[in-house]
Amino acid sequence: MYPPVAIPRLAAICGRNEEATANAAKRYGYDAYYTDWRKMIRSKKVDVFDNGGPNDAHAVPTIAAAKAGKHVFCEKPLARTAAEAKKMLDAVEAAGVKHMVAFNYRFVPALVQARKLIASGALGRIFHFRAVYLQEWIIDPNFPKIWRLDKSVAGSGALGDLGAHIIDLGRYLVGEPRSVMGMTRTFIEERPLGDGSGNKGKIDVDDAFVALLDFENGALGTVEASRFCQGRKNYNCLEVNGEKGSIQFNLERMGELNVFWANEEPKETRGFHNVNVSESYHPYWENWWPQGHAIGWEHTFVHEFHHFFDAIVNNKPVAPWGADFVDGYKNAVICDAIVKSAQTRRTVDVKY
Amino acid sequence: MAEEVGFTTMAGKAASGEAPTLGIGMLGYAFMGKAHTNALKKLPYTDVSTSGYSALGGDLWP
Repeated sequence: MYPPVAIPRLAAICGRNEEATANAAKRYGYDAYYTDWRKMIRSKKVDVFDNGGPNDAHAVPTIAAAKAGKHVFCEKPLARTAAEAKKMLDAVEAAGVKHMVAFNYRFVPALVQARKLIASGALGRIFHFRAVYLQEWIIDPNFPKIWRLDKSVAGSGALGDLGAHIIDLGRYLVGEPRSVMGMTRTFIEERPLGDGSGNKGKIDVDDAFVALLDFENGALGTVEASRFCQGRKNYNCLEVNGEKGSIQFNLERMGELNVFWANEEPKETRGFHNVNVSESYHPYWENWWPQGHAIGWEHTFVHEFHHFFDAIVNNKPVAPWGADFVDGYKNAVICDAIVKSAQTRRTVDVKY
Repeated sequence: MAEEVGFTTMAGKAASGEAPTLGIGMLGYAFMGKAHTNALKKLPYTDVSTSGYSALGGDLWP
């Protein structure tokens, strides 16, 4: 299966801790390492700046890389706030470089297939989008205040980390929300700083949120994310209900798509079908293994990088199948609106 | 149904041209740095002729 659209060369990796970065460069196979991203983006050997850093390290390096003429690929959420995301969007558009946000679940074959079914009209009019993203890893009150629980670094908690994914999938599968209502909760208000001092720090991000989405096409949406759900490991689970059928997906069983068709015959066996999305005619599967030889979470990243490189090499748009910085900005606007709604206890219009 | 890709055809597609090289500058070596690097190493297993927009069916987007 060769050649690919482009061969990535691991030119350089950058981190603040020199020993750890040097070790990563050696282990991962990068040609060089830097402890200063400013030096890395000046390298002529770097064509693509890939930002996999924490959220507070997204805007400044990514904007500088775009100004230096590098194509930019940034982890989600694009920024801590919509205002910060807008600066990033303006910078990449001014620089004329390709830009993509790593909403990798757009590249799960089962969800690409779901999008195709919805777009083809197979479900008819869409009534509901219902998504949860549940994890369980910070229930212990002695779990430390890591960067993901620090508003100055992360921007928000479960909302920006997990909620951003399912909000993006709502836009990907159903369309634009025009207003939101949200509620947030912080269950553990203080945590150890984790620096050995024994001191505690106040938690200023949401541990969980729920929100209602009012879609422009009339669909009604609910989204919920939490890291306080015992037993839920990476439960990114969604359902779309249309007039002709329904689709249900669970990331913990990501090779499957559950579908129901209202008029299927014979009616005696009508019911939800569990489809093993692994045939060569399913999205991306022609490039992998014989049917039933499962691929996993890490392959979503392969697909999204392929999509981005295809956009660069063949000058194609990243959107609508991939998320570009416009999508990253809109996602941040919706997240900010949910926070505002939770604070004001009112419906908030989504204004891009 | 696996007429096009199956147990006997996995290595059937030969190189038909040179792919360009893109130099990657990666910020971060932890969770996402590791996940991204893993994908970049796997990427040469994909095939240009059947991936990307043809896999996605871009014409179906309204």
